Amino acid sequence: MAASSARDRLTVIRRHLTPHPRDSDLQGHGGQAEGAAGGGGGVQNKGIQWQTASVTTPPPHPHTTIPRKRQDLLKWNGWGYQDSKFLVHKEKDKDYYVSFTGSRYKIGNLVLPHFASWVKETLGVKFDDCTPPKPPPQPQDYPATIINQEFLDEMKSLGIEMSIEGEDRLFRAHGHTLAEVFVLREGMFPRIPDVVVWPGNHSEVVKVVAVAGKHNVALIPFGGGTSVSGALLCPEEESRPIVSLDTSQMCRILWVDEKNLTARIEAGIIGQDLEKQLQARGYTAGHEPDSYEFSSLGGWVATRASGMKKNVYGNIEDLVVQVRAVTPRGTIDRYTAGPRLSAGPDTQNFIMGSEGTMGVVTEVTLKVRPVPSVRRYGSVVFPDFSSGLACMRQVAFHRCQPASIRLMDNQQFKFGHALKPPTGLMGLLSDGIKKIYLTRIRGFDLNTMCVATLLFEGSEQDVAQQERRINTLALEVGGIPAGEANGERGYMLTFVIAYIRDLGFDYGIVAESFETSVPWDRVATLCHNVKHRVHSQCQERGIKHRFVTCRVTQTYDAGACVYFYFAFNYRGLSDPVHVYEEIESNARNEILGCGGSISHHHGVGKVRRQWMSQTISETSLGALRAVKQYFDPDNIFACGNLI
Amino acid sequence: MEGAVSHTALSEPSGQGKPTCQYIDLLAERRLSSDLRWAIREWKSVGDYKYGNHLTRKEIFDHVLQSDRVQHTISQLVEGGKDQEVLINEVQEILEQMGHTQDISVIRQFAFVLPKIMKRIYGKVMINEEGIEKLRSTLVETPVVLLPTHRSYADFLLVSYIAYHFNLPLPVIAAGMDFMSMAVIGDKLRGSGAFYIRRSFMDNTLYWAVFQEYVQTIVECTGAPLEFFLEGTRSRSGKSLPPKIGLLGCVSECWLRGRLPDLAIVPISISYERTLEEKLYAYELLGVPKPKESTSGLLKATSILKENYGDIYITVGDAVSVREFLEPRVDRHLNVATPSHLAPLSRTELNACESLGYHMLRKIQQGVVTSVWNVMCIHLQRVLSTGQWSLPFDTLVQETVWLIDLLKRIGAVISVEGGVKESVERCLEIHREVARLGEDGRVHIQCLHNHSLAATNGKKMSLKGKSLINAVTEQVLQHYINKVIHLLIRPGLLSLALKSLELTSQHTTTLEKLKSRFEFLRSLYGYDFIFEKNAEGRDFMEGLSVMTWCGEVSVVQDHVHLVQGGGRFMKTLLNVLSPFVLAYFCTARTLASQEWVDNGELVAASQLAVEKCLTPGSGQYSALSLDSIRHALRALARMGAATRTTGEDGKVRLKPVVQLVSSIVEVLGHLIHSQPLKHKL
Repeated sequence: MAASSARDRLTVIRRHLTPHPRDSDLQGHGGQAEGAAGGGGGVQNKGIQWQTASVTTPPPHPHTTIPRKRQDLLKWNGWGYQDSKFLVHKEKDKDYYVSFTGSRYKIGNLVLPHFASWVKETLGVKFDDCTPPKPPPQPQDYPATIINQEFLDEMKSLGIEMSIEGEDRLFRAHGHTLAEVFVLREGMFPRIPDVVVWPGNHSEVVKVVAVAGKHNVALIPFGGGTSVSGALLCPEEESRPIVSLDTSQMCRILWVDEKNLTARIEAGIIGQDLEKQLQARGYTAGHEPDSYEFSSLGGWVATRASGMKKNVYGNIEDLVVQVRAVTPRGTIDRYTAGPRLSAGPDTQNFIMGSEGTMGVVTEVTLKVRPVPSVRRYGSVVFPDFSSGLACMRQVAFHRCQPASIRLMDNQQFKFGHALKPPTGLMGLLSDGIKKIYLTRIRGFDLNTMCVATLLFEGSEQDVAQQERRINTLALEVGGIPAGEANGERGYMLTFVIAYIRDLGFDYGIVAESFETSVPWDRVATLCHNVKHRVHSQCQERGIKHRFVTCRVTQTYDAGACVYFYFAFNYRGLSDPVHVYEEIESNARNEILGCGGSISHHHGVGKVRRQWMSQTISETSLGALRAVKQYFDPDNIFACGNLI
Repeated sequence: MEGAVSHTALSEPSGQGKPTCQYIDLLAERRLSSDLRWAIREWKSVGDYKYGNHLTRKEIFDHVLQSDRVQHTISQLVEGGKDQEVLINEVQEILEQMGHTQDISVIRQFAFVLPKIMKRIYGKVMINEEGIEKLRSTLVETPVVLLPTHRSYADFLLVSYIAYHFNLPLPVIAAGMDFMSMAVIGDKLRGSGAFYIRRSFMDNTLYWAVFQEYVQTIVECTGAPLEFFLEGTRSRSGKSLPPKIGLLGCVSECWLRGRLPDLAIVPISISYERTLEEKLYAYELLGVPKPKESTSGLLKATSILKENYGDIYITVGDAVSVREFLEPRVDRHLNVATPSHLAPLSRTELNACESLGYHMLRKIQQGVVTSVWNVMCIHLQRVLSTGQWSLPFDTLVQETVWLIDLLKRIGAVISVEGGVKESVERCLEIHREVARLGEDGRVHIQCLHNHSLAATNGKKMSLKGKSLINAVTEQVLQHYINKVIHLLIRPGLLSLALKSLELTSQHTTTLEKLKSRFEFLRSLYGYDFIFEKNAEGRDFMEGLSVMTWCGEVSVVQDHVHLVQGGGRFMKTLLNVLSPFVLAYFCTARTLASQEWVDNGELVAASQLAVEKCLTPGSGQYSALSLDSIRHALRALARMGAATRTTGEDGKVRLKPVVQLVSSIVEVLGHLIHSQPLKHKL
């Protein structure tokens, strides 16, 4: 590649020209690549800067799993990879059955013999009654663009890649809330970005933001596009051109500092690429939100994301050492990489959770850990949800959480079983024995029992010790260890469950998840009350077939994270999205009334903005607005999220 | 309307398009089969709360004792120097005294005895079966609070008996401590699910904590239906009393603090055709204190068993969701971050609960089934107020027919069996002690005053014996009028407002002026009558629309015009409200006359002032009701017409705010001067 050989040459020259690196530069803030590196930006560089500093050389652009033309690999109107989806089959004279395609997931290329009947029973699905989505839009179907030619010209002269193709624009016009996907399948957004730009590094972002400011063009940063808060939706009333700032080309690990176990990483990298590359070097970041195949580092920072293994690695705010972000006012930086700071309120928190309102994250210094030697799954079954919850509480009390521990309620337990692949004779036998043991001998009721899934990481010794500890606590409240396979399936389903919604759409089912965090003493009542509220709301609206379930997905010293799934059969309702939104709004009121929060990790975006003042008080909200006013007085970052 | 033996269809106001309710007679079957077999039949409740747990008395006690609230209160008191052991014992004692048991064998005893008594003294016990089935399905979904009206001791076990009859989960009943001391009965009531609470304990923090926790444990953990009387005590006057929000707030807290997804409150309206305590109440309202509840007192009342008390109508109303009612009125998120036991209800939350109380009372009123007798009493009292003790039967029937027709149009549910004439005859038979049909074809009103009954109490009455001759009878009549007065109060206040604005057929007034006068009166009478909070506009419109389609007033653009100086209906309304006008007028004037040391004296003086205005044939003696006088004082204080200060001697003094009281006296004076009472003032 020409670009990379040019870069190599520059590196050599620089090494020759540089005197001995000074100590202070060794801990540089990661701007080393500035100006020198980046795809196609070379021509416009201000020249080679004398701040080599870097211990390692800025790496070349690695391969990204997801191409720039995302639609080549991913579904344009649904979740995930094109080749992975649930399919409904019908053989002559036989009942319908469901399978999952593709070989990316363990469930792939398997027939799921129990699933069709579960769907029919729980959600009243009639497989003869299918509503397929509308075909991809034709060029004339996209909303008209608002173009600022000067902006485009300047981008071109800066050599920053961009596109005004309808497909590219549409792909960046939405996240994955129910409402957004419904629009993709049934209609068209009133407003989508007018241009997509792909800056290749921090300095190009600086230029894009400056040019946008100059021409009064709105910017909406785009990372992995997995938002579930409406954060990516273009405000309809925005009359300026809207530019989607796609960070996906800023995806390099700039360096790994093995002494301090940190790594400087460009914010556009997606989770799976980050892990692949770090693990190739023997490290892991350990941040695994359920969306981590597609979501980006910058997105995690901008939404205060949480990973399933936070017990070992921490949530994003624990993992981040430094954040660099570009605002219209300038670049936000923290120059020290010291592990903790007493220097006034943490200004990095203006960016963490800012949801694209203040600026765009370009680089992050992240903690890394050596890849653990053992990774093992486990599971425990409990006679009912409250005993499962008691176990979770004890585990948190003793602070002996494994990498992940999740408790599913009875409905979700049954749902997991419906997704079991066919088992051989031995499997059948052992399943049968298990069932008899649990129900007959231990007196478990299949209609109340629930399961906790466990993920252990560490040395063999650590893991064995953790397992013993958990099993002891579980036994004390009447739980029974239920093996590795159940646990692994649980975590695999986490990734697959997102694909089910697309199948549901075809058959009149809409589904969505929402989450919260809540103090320990209110977890049980919150779960109960929210489910009750959703059911009674459905009843009021004449929704007969519905599925409401929850799981406790994270534990903390002071409380837990609870995750709800809600699906219903909307046949007979004229506006299912509106109905869903009303019900979720009711559920959120109930959550707040029961002591839960506005969100644990999904963020606020546009769909939860109405509850901000009930969460952080008007005064705090005013402070946020003032910060926004300082960073972005002309509202260039005009996504309209959060505040 | 034709009434079948066991099914009576009561027509509801035709305009509202509601289906007619089917009432069935609980006693019909009992009259045909063995009470014993009925009491020992296989019994299992159907409709238990799906998330309820059965807790024993001991388990409830432990739950209460271990609760954060009680433990916290104990530790606070220990810090204040009390002994922990002693406090724990005190909690145990409170619980022993309070705690209910629910023993099906005790219920069976009542199931045996109650039908026997009821069959003897009542004709039919009618209940809307549809309401029962709705209640059953509500009970499964959510914890339920049952709010029956409280007009008589007979209310006490009626709801439990209904539950037994229909195999509903048996209610746990909040009862006043005075019942507990009744020999045998006290324990029997406890065994059938009653728990006892002291009358006043707001300053006893430990008792308060135990009480709250006890009630909430029942609601939250057991999911058993909780029954209590929103009015706190039996309403002697027959009107709804302002709600007591202690218990209501306590149960609402379960939702307010996010511990329950919802609570359903079910209004139960019990309408007695004849109240067991009618005479006792009359004396009590006139100033004879109520005797202490005792079993021997109850036995003395066995003379009751020889009499006929007519029918009972019970309406189980539609459940009101606490969540739906309170959610728009409170901000739960403000208090959820504090541990529940450390977050007492805020001012806003208490206000919302009070609104809920008023809302429920209105729902209860809407379920009342009116007897023909209630309507008759309006005419009987009017006749008596002109000094006559009899009137022609036919006149009474005509007047009753007219008013029944009108009441139905404004939403009354009236039980008429056969024709109105037959019903009037029947009522005169049931209430023969008050009014009976003579052979001369006239209806004779009876003097109910009995010197021996008044004297038994030993305490000297302030009223003159002469007054009592009219007053006791009128008070009894008023009791029955009061049972329909909620239907008349809105057009009634509108009539008063019109009258007080001196509106004659030549003049008109603006809507705005009328509304402001209406709101003033509504506020003044806010304790005597039940008005929902923040519903001034709605009440005004309701009153105005009734008056409009009765042809009493016409509204042209923004002006209200009184048709021919007020018609028959308006005169009736003014007449019905005249005792309240007189009582309030005299009370306000008495208040204005000097500074008062304490309410008791002022109440007596006000009653005396009322008495001075009355002579037989010129006014209504039910104005002597202490109930109204007390309500008037409360209202005047609330409106700022008097200031309350505690003097150095620790006595509470009531000082009139002269200007305001005078203006109130003036408005009421206008109303009295337009009535035949004026010459006495």
